[in-house]
Amino acid sequence: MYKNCLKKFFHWKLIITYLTVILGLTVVLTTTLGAAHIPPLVVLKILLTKLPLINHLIIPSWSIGEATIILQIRLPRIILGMLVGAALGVAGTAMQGLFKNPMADPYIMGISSGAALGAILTIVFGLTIFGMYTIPLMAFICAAAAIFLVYNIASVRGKLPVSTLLLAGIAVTLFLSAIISFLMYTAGEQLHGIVFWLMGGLWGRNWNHVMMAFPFIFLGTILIHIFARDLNVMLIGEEPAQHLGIEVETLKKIIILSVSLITAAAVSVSGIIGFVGLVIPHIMRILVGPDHRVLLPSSALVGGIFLVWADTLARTIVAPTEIPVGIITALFGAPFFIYLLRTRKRSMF
Amino acid sequence: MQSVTLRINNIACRYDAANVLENIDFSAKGGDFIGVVGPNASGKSTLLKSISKVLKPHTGVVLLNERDVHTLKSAEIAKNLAVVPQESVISFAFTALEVVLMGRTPHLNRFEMESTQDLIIAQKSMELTNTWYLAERPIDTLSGGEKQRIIIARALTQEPRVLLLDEPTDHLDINHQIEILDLIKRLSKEEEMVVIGVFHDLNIVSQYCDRLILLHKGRIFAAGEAGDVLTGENIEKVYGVKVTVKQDDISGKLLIHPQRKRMIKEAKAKVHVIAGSGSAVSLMNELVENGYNVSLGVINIGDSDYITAKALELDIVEEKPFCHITEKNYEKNLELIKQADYVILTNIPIGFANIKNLKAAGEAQNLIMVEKEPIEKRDYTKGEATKLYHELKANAALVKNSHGVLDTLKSMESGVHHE
Amino acid sequence: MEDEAIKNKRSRLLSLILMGILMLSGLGGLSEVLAANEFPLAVTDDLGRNVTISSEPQSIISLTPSNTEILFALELEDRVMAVSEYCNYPLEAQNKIKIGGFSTINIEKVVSLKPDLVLATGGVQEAVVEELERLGLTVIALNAKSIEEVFENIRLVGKAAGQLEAARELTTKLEQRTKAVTDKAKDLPDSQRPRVFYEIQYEPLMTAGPGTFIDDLIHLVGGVNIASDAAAKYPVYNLETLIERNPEVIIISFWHGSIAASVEGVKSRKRWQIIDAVKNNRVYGINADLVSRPGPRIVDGIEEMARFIHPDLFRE
Repeated sequence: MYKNCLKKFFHWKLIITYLTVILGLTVVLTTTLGAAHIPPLVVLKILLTKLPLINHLIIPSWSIGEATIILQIRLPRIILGMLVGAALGVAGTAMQGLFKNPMADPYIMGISSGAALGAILTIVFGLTIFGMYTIPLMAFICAAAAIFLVYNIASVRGKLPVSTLLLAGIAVTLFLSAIISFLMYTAGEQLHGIVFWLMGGLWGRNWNHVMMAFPFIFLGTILIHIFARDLNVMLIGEEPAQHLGIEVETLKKIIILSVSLITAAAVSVSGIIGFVGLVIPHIMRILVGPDHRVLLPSSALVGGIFLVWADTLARTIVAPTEIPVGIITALFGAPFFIYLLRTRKRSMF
Repeated sequence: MQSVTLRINNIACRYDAANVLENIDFSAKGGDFIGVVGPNASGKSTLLKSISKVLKPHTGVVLLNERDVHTLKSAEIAKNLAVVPQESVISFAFTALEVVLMGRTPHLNRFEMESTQDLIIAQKSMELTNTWYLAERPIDTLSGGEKQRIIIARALTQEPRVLLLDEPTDHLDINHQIEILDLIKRLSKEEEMVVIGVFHDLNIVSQYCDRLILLHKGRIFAAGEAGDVLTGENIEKVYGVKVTVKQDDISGKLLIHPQRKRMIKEAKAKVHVIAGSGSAVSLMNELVENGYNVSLGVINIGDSDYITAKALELDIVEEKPFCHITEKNYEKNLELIKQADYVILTNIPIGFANIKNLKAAGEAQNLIMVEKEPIEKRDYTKGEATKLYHELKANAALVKNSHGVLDTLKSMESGVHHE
Repeated sequence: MEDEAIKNKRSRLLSLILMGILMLSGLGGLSEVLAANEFPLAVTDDLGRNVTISSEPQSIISLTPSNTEILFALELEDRVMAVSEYCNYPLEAQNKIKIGGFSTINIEKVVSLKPDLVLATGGVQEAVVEELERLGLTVIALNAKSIEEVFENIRLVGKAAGQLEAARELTTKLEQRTKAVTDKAKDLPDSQRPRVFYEIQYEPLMTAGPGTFIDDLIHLVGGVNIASDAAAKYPVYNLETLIERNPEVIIISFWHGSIAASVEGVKSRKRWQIIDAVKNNRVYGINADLVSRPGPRIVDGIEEMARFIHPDLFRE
């Protein structure tokens, strides 16, 4: 099917290039879409003023309001959507490879509940230590604390058995969820804000959010890609991988660290957006195969493309009312995934 | 090329408090094909794991080319040592070739892609294991045997100096078993590799391995050449089962069979067998299994039937090899025949040396004759045997081959058959 | 002489007629008062339920802050036995026994206090209403959706509690105050209506859409709610549209902290600097209770909003 065609006619580099181009086009195209009624041509001109050489040629014919909307409201949101989507795609792929489990997603090690707890504590107690960035920073700190806790629970004599890690993640998640539920129950009027954060969304994000998330997502992604081949070998089993020269315990630690950085950064700026980290890796595995050297970058690119489009729908479909983006990702992504599963002849795992 | 050496210096391994291996000490150099045998839980797999660095022995060292395995990085070891595990569960859709290429991992730098050279090595390994035609197939669609051969190919792709195999021929058809073992044996000699294989099939190890190590409860019970290690005594002590150890007629290698036990408890009728040239080997086993009291005579010492009867501990009237049946033996045989409830004459050639057996058969109360070929073709007495034979035939039950004997016996016992 | 007699007769007749009318109206008023204070009586509440009140209730429990405010405004505080945890106005209400939150009413407690009358609302309290009714209590549910309905509800409570007169007095005053605002504002053409944005909360930005009190109020006091075409009652509002529609007045409700701090907070938002309301320093804060509770203080809300939106028409 697709896989045969792709493998026959496209080299990896072609796939990556192709996807990168689509991502670029997505970003440009979605910048012209939005609740504010700004003509696409004007949008493009506004964008071009940001390019170093061409900008002198553009004569401004728009208002400051329009420029603010495009450059300060729409564009950072799109870029952040791209970053978060890519982060979740990469993290999900790595988790599924590490755990050899099709149900794995970036959130199973307790990162999402940790981040949620941080955000909710901030909202409930009205903390403003870092001003408007208190929520993302608290979310990040608490996410890091959660994964640290899980790691220590699961470590046995310097080794990290994967099954114990999974169970520890589940246990910590359940515990933190109970605390979160309690806080929500007693929240009163702040409940709205909590629920919106939990549902995940990119409302109101600006360039500062992008700058906060970018270094962690970038670092973590690069780190995982460096060990892409090692991840391939891990798929045939931990002992065989060791026999082929992979330092299995070290690799596990690196993967977990990278995934934690990426996911904590993503969740702290966007809340808990579901579906992307779980299903995009599956879809890409069906389309480009299980080799992580092409699967990881593909998942990153498609994750970014997908989330940007989903967010565009979320902010335009019933504008000016916004729909939580997690609803869009599940609503449109699930049927497509079901379609792929049905048309494939064998199972994927 | 400098020969590779592997020394296992008095290692002991434990899981929690229990010692799984103790006092394991042996060494190997390039060209050695060592077989490790022993019952379940004797520590065979643990031994392999301690050599490949998966397990750390709590005393003793494993030296690969005089370097302690535990001071080496996994990648360093993997360039020299390959392991074929007992089972491989691969549920991802890598192609067989991709899996084999993973064998090149220890030789590649972090960012290096597989080169044409790597591909050639992988192809060669796959051709050696007769799996090249499976190259593009996804690994999760292959049968157990095909997967096993791919895994072996992967191990070979590492270009190892030491090859460890854990029950490598488990899932293979007999033709592939032979193929792989021939290959491994050849490689161990040609490439001067150390090959250590864990087997549970004792016949295989004696055929292929230069040396054997017999493990019993975590210790080396015996080590050395197959003939010295795999004695009936050793096997009974370690495995707790009685066996017959023979040397194969054609290859000269050891053949080990478990002794047949009496399957049916109550003693049944006495059956005397007149045979020779190995024509009653399976017949006698079947009769013993079914509870009959079997005797054999007159048989030449050294004849296969003689050896079988000896192993089954039957009453035998034996004659010196190549000699005519003496009068004394003839009388003895007659005794047994008269005492027997049934006598079976197998499809033997009759010559002057054993015509007396034919004469004695005439005294049988109930005679069953196995006739695969007409007596005329088997008569080396210029007609005398044929005459006697036809006389016997008049009063005997006839079967076409030895397998029919048992059924005939049973129906005769229940009185269905009439004269 | 004849003329004087006729004049006298006429004036006497007139006075008689006048007296008769007066008496009749007095009688009528008296009879209505008499009739109103006649128990048992039947009322229909906002959930369409027909409720029979057998005698003048002496112990009343209020399950919502708005109902509490109505009771206190009708000077029935002595009869108020218990209130919800959120009933914070007037201050005296906070001293009453508490019977739970807004959606977490403790039914056991309510029943154990044996009230003559329970005032509740619809929505999340519908199930509570049904349960209390099943347990034999007299419950009235109020769910006003407009200013008029608020006034009707005040009168309904008055009737149910045997204080219809006081209720009428109260509503008359409230209606007058409202009229003082709406007379000046309700016929203003769009060109004279400032664009208003009401911020209920930030992160994400939530405003009041069509069908809400706030939306009604903004219109009543002569403004136009930029979110009145939104798809939901309390939508999360797109930042782009906010900037595009460029409100002239921003009103925020504040939950905690000072109004001043909240207003400053809004004015310091980087991307909001280009909005007219921020540029012209027309960001105001209001106590959310004044514009969301369907009680007598809604008129306070009307007046305050009017001052914010049309300082030219309404002064302190």
